This record gives sequence, structure tokens and C-alpha cells, in this order.
Amino acid sequence: MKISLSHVTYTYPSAARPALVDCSLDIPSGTFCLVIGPSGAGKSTLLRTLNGLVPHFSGGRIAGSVHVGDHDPLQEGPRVLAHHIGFVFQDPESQCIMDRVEDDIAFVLENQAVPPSLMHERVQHVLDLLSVAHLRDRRIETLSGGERQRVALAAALVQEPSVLVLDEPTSQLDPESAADVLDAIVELHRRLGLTVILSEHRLERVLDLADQVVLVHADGTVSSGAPRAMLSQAASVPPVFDLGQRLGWEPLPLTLPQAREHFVGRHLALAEAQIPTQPKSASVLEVCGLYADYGGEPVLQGASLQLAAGQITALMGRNGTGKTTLLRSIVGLHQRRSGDISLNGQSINERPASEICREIGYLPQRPDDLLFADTVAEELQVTLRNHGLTESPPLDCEALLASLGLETLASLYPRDLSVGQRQRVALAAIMVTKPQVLLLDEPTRGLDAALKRALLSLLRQWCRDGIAVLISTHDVELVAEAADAVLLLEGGHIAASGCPEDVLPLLGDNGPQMAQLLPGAHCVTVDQAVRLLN
Amino acid sequence: MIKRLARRLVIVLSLAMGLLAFAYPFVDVAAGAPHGSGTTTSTAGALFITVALVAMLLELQSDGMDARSSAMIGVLVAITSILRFIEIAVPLPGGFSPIFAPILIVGWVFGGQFGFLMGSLTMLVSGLITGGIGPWLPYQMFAAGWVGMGAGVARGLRDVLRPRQTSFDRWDLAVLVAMGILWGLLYGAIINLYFWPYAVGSADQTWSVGIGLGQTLKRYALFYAASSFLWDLARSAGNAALLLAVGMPAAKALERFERRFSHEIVREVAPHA
Amino acid sequence: MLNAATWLVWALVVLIVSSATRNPLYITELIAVLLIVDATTARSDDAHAWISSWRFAAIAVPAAAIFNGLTVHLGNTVLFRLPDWLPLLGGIVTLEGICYGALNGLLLTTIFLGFTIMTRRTYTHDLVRLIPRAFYQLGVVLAIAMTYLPQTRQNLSRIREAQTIRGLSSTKVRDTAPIIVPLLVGGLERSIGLSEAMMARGYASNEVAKTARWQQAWLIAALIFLLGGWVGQLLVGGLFYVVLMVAGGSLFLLLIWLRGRSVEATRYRQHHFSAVDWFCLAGSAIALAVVTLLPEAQSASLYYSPYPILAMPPFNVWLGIGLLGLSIPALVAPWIAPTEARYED
Repeated sequence: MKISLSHVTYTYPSAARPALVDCSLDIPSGTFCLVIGPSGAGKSTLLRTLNGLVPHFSGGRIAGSVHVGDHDPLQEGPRVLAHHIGFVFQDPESQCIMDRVEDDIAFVLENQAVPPSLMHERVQHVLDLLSVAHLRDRRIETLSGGERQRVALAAALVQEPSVLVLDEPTSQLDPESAADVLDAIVELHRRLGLTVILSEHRLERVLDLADQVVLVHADGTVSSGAPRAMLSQAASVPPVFDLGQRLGWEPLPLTLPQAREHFVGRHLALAEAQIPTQPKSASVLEVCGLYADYGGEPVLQGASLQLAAGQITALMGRNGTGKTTLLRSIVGLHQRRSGDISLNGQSINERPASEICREIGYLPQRPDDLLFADTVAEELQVTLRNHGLTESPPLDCEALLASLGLETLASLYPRDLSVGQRQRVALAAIMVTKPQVLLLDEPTRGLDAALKRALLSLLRQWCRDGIAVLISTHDVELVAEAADAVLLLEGGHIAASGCPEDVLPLLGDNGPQMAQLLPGAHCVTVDQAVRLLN
Repeated sequence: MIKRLARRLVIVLSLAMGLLAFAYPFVDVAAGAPHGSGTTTSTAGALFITVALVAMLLELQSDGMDARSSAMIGVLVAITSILRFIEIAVPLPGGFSPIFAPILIVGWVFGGQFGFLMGSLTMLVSGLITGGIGPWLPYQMFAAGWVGMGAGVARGLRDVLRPRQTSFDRWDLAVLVAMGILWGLLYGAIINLYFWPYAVGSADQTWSVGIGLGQTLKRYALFYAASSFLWDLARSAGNAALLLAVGMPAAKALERFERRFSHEIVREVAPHA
Repeated sequence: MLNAATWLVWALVVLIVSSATRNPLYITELIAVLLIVDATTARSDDAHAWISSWRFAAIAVPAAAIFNGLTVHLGNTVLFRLPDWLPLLGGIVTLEGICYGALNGLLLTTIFLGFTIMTRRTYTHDLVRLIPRAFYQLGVVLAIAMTYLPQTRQNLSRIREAQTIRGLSSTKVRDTAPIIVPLLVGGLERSIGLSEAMMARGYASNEVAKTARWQQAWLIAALIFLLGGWVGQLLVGGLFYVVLMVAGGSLFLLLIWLRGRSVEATRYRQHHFSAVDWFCLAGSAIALAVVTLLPEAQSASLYYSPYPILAMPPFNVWLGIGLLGLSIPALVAPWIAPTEARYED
């Protein structure tokens, strides 16, 4: 089914400027189309015009025309287009209507009065198609994020559409689940010949399959073309592509194997990369022999670590190894079985969480949970009030907001802000007590490259003021770029620790692209690789 | 227009029927109508209250229950039902339950129809999850529905009396707190009416015919005072305290949410043929 | 396992039957039947009870006995006398009054027990699915609410934690805003995502369940008939008003049926009645029949009254046997073992 947009300009209700500006686009039938661009540029909006959610759900002003085959989504709306376009959303937690996998997939068929026998046939078909038949009777809340997204895919396909549209389906998932979901999408494209339109930040896995890349610019305009041409204009690209650009390779590599081809027949005289020796600074936080259970199962079995002032330490490890449990145990939110935690040499074992958090800041995975006040400035005051610090705040609130780039937003409602801004407000609400240690749980989940960079420079700045930072993350490229030290959590304890150049190559296939491209070279970032290869 | 009038008529009729069902144990006895036992009284009352509730639900669910409002009510009902389990340290023991404050606030912000559905479905869902289903459920659903609808009606009055006021302010909060106190007592009195014919039993006609309305009311007053007045007083105080604590920020947050999702589509250029 | 509808019918019959009598012999029989059913059909994965039936009885029976004893000054066996100047309480306190109150308490316990057994033996979502088709939209709302309960519970503890991080440590009422407000706002934001997903999948309630103008008129007519009939019956009395009520009631039920028919949606899960279900339903029907259909002479024993003097209550064998119909679930218990282990609430 051929898709075309012509001169689409769209403005959300009560928005000052349009989200999409004069977008024209053609996507031939059977295409694997990748939609990229910075956060908030209008990728989601663009995708939603295809099935008429924009403007039928969102309201607002729209001009131009959209065609999906013979259908006009702007006119006919999502109910009609649901037969032709399957849509999968970003948040795995708000897509399920019924409490059981099978019922959820069947929900829309019930709604459209499909006869029960046909309904069972179709549900069985999509369950098999996505290999989720074993989940059919499971309750939704018992599924992992990746499983939920597979179920959402099944639900999107049960009406047998010929186009599949996915709005950042993996942004809330860990790398393994994300790979799993992306593989399922690739498989569907290959087997059923579906037209796939996918907006995605994790480009590595799908880039070489894309026939077409649509780049949504920050100003709401779009351009479209072949992957290499479009990536050259993009703000963030996979490391191998970056390397290729910097070294002037032709054709530019999209994937690791393509990059490796540039080395075929070339003798690499690799100089050992220079690892800057870190000045050893005093450790602020010491965790010694931590044991803790989660859901009755032992998770942490003797984890010990030290955080040094002025350093960014990354905590890595596969999903479910207890990274979050470790962070929560440190600040006293999680009941530990044994182990000692001391701050500046003084034990904090017996202190309540609300008190520990004054000195050890902790940013949980969903910063939104913190925010409830009327204004950004008020959020800071709430924390101060809770700690009884209103009279003598440890630092100047206005200066803090200014350092976070929030000074002009101080009187706005936090929940109206963008993802990155909301995260910074949450950080401000935590940092206002001037803690010596800051723990962040997956702070880059759902952030694009530019936002990640902004967050890192902020953390770096706090480090310079002597704060010790610990980030739990799956993002190897980020760790390669930014961490001073890496801790690898495995089997309930810290299995390896050291500088990124030493630890990250241990991750093998899950390691940074540069470490995989140049094994044994002590090289994890593009900068290092460029220096090495020149 | 006719549809809206008809809807109002349904609402008024089922309210009248519900009120009559609640008042029935008194009217019945006063009228001295012949009856065999307390059974007729309670069965008739329960039947009519069920009819009134079902009529309301039937009318309010039709039209306007699109995907958005279905999802909103569903999620809000889940939240309010879960609030039943939240541990809040209240100095008074008793019937305090944090579910009335959200029902009142939601009814105020999103209107009476929304409030009714929210109140009655919250009772149904929390009854289901706590195993508290029983013949008293229709009474609870109807009463809680009116808690929500009452807040919506009060909001409508506010809009008439103070048309310039567009956002939630202290006076509005005062109205909600007053309603919270009132409903705390009233709700108990209404739910007790379910138990009344059983707990007291109008016995058999040999003596109950002789009891006048005044005497019955007196007995009920005593029954109420003995059985649940203190309990309900705690509910009232709890409602008031909770509304004072969360009313302002919650109502403001909901109002913001409502404003953010105004829903008007403007198609600027005709589609290409 | 039994169909949820079978349990619901059973519990309703328990309600009707126990409301129909004040005879301690029948009440005792009913309680015995219920306790046996409860014991024999118990499962390992029973839903938790709200409060235990024993506790309920321990409160309800003495409370009702004391209240009735102190406020009803009838009966011949005078225990003591309260001074006359006490409003309402003044007068004789009799054994009969106390006994009658205790009976009321027992009755309430029976009803409570019946519904407790029903809710513990059925799965919540099966009960939700019993909602008639006429209430299609409400069914969807309830399904969403049930789906989001576990998630909301998680959100609540997460938000609590997030506020602890900010130094909030008390559970005082004035400190609930930081928890309730994010819960509400977060939930509403989620509901937006959810409704988008519903629309993207093609959900449109108004297409499925249209309300025609005539249905509204019909509903109004039914309500007017019912209300008019009832008021007339109360104030004037007479066959005409009874007919009016019956007509209103029939119109009302017919409307619900018609609306259900007009809903164009199908059901994925078909819940069938097994032979065991029919057996239990038949038992409930028998119990209902003996109480409502037996001739006056036979059923007179239901209306036992301890006034004016306590006497041995009468007992009708046929009624006694008929009530045993409610014990069928206990008899068939071996065949209603949780066969559908795939349900895992």
C-alpha cells in the first residue's frame, strides 16, 4: 500500500508553532522506512498522521493531504485506517486494554463483531506469528517490557494490516528486549512483506535493512532519501558511521561488518592506545559485602564498591542482575540482609532512607514520579521543606536552576515540560540538598543523543565540584564516552571494575562498536579509534 | 437539545426513585400499608434502588463515552480503588476511606455525569477487589455516584454564580470540604438504611402498624447514633482533612489536564481530490 | 470450576431465601448449609476474605440483640425495666425483644456469608464479564480498571519511594498530596496513551452501541410507570398501581434486553454451563421455589415471631428439604476442582 504525504502542516491545539511544516513524502509499498530525528521534532506527530490519530485524536489545525492507498486518514479517521495500519506505541505500559494477553489481542475483534470462530483463528495466527503463544493466558502485569511490546505487535497485526507503524517501540526497553523486538519487526517485514515505518533511536540493528530514511528536522520539516545520504545530515549516528565519516571512507559503513570490510587486506599497525592515568581521589562512599533479596530470591551476594569524589562511575550488568536493587539498597529504600555502607567513613546502616537521601541523591528511573508541585521553583522548596532546610538552604536555588538551564522555566508547571526538562527538574529537586553522592538509575532511557550529551556535561560539571556520580545504565557507547570508571555487576557481586577501556571489551558482542571493531586495541570511543588509525 | 432534556429527566426520575427507596422504610411504616414482614420492605427498597442505579448507568454510558473518557474513567477508578489500601495515619479510628476526596474532585472538574460514573464504578471495583460484594452494593454505588454527581452540580452552580472564575480557588475548595463533611455523614446514613430493616426488622404487623413515622424516625436516629455516628464522623473529618491537603493541588492538576486536551479539529485546506 | 453466573445465582437465592424468613430453625439450617458449602468447595488459591464471617457474626448478632432489646418494649418475659424518662429506651426489656434482635443479626450473617463464599470462589474478571451486553461501554471501562489495578498499585509504591527520596517520611494526611497528585496526573497521562492505543486499533464505542432516541423515551416511560405505581401503591393502594409497577418493570427489563441485542460486538471467551452448573442451578431453583411458591399453609412457618412470648418455632419438612437445594455445590465439589489452572489470579 503506497503512502504519500503532500504539503502537510500541522499545529497542536494551543501550540504557538506548527509541529510539522510542509511535509511531503512518498513511501512505496513494501518499504522498510526508518524515521529519525531529535526528540520533540515531530516524529510521533508525523507517524500519527498516517492513521488519522492526528488530527482525530489530538485536535488542532491541519493543512495538506495524506494518502494511504486509496484512503484519506485525515478524512476517514483511525477507525477505518485500523484495518490497514497496525500501530505500536512507545510506552509498553499503556497499550493494553484487557488484563490477559489473549483477551487484549481479541479486544478489537470483539469490538468489530468478528464471529468467535474466526476470532480464535486470527488470534492464534498472530500469537504464532510473534512466537508469543506461550504467553496467551498470562496476565499483562506479569510480562516484561519486551514481551509487552511483542503482544502490542500481535494486537496491531490481528486486523491483518499491510502497513506497520512503530513509534519508538524500544525506547523504554533494555538492549536485549529491544534487540528481540527489533528482530521480530525485521522478521515480519521479510516474511509478510509488510510496509514498515519505524521511528527509532537504536539505529545499529535496523540501519542496513532500511530502504529509506526519513529525517524529521527540529523545525518540523522533513527530508527523505537513501540511508547514507540522510545519516550524513543527522545529528547523531552510529559510531562506525561516525568513524567512516571522519576517516573519509567510501562507501560509509552502516554496520560493523561493513566497517570491517575496510580493514580487509590492510595491515593494521595498532599503537596501544594511551590510557590517561586517573589521579586517585579519596573515596566518598564505600559499600562492603552487600547482601539483599528481591522477591524472595537472593540478588546481591556480597557486592562491594567504592565511589571516588569527582568521578563518574558507571554500573553495568545484564537485565535483572540487581543494579536497581543495589542503588536502592545504598540509599536505604531496599531492605538489605547484611553489608555495610559508609559515607565519608561513617556508617549509615541504621539511618532511614528519607535522611540518607539528603546526602546521597538518588534519581529513580521515572523522574515524573517526583513531580507534583505547581511550579519548577516550588519543587525545590518542597524538598527543602521535607528536610527542614527552608531557613538555610545549602545552596542557592536560583543558581542551581540556572546551572540546569531552567532559570526561565522556574514559574512553569513541571509536567508541561519536555522529557529532558522534566528530568532536569527532578535532578534539581534532588540536588537542592547538596548531596555528596548522586546515584542515577538508567537516566538516559528514552533520551536522544543531544539530551544525553546535555545530561553528561551537567554531571561532569557537578563532578568538578567534588560530587561522586554513579550511573546505572545499559548504554555502552555512553559509558565509553563519559565514564571514568566502570563496575560490572554479575552473579550478585562486582565481577570487574576499572577504566572503560579495560572493562567494556569484556562485554563482547554487547560492547561498544569500536571495541568490537578493534579488538585488543584498548579502544572504546570513536575519538580513540581515529587517533589510533591515523 | 431534546436529548439533553431527556437525559436530565432520566436523572431526576432515578434520583426521585432512589430517594424514595431510601426513605421507604419510613414511608412504608407510616402509611401503614399491609405487609408480612421486614422482607417486603427491604426487598422492595433494594429492587428500586437497583432500578434507579441501572437506569442512571444505562443513560450515562450512552453517547460521549468515547475511547478517551472510557480510558480516563477506567484509570481513575483503578487509582481510587487502590487508594483504599493506602496507609494514611488518621488520628481518629473509624469509617475514613480516602476514596471520597478523589470522587468529589473528579466530579467537580470533569462534571456530574463523569462524577457519577466514577463514584459508582469505584464502589463496584473496590467491592470486587476487597470481596465486599453483597446486596448493599447497589446502595453504595448509588450513594457514591451521587457524591460525584453532587460535586458536578455544585460546580455548575459555581459557574452560574461566579461566571468570571475560571480556575479552582479557595472558595471552591471550601465548598468541596463542606460537601466532604456532609457526605461523610449522609453516606453512612444512606448505607445504614440497607441494614435497617434487617437490623431492626419491622417485625410483624401486630405491632408495627401502630408505630408512627415519628417513632420510626426516632428509632432510626438512635440506631444511627448507636451504630455509626462516630464512625461517620471520622469519615467526615477524614474527608475534610484529605480535601484540605490534596484538594487544591489535585484540582489544579486535573484542570490543567482538561485544558491541555481541548479537542477541536480545523482542516485548513481541502484535501486533494 | 463452576461458572461465575452459577455462583451469583446461588448467592442471590441465599439472599432472597434468608430475607424471607425469621424462623431460627430455617436460619440455622441455612447457616449449616453455607458452612458446609464453604468448607467443601474451598480452594488453595481462594481470594482473601474481606473480614471473616465469624467476626461479622460476633459483631452483628450481639449488636442487633442489644439494640432491639433496648428499643422494642414488647413481649411477656420481662427481664428488667428502664426508667420511663429515657426517650425511646424507657420501658420494659424483654427476652423476646433480645431474641428477635439476635435473629436479625444471624440473618445478616447468613447473607454476608453467602456473598463471601461467592466472591471467594469466583475470579474477579469472570464476575466483570457477567455484565450484560446492554452495558457494553461500562464493561470496557471496568475491564480497563481491572487491567490497571496491579499497575496502579506498583505506581503507588514507586511514587511513595520517590517522595521518600525527597525526604518525605510521614504518613500524615497533610503529606498525602505528594503521593496522590502524581498518582492522579500520571494515571491521566497514561489514560491518554491508552485511549490513543484503543483508537489506533479501531475502537469506537458509538459505532458498536448506538443509543436511539426511542430508547431514551422508553426508559423514561418505564421509570414513570414504576415510580407512579409505587407512589400510588404507597398512598392509595390497589391493583391498578400494582399493574402499573409490573408494566414499568417489564418495560425496563425489555429495554435492557433490546439494548443488549443492538450491541454489535462479539465475545472471545465463551463461558459454557456444564452439567455440574445446571445441577447447582436446579438446586438453587428448588430452594427459591419452596420459599416463594409453596401454598400459604405450608410456608406460614417462615414468618416466625417470638412475640408475645417465646415459643418453639414451627418447622415444615418440605421447606426444610427444599432449602437443602442450596447445598448442591458441596455435593458436586469433587467435580468442580479448579480444572482451569491456567487462570492465575
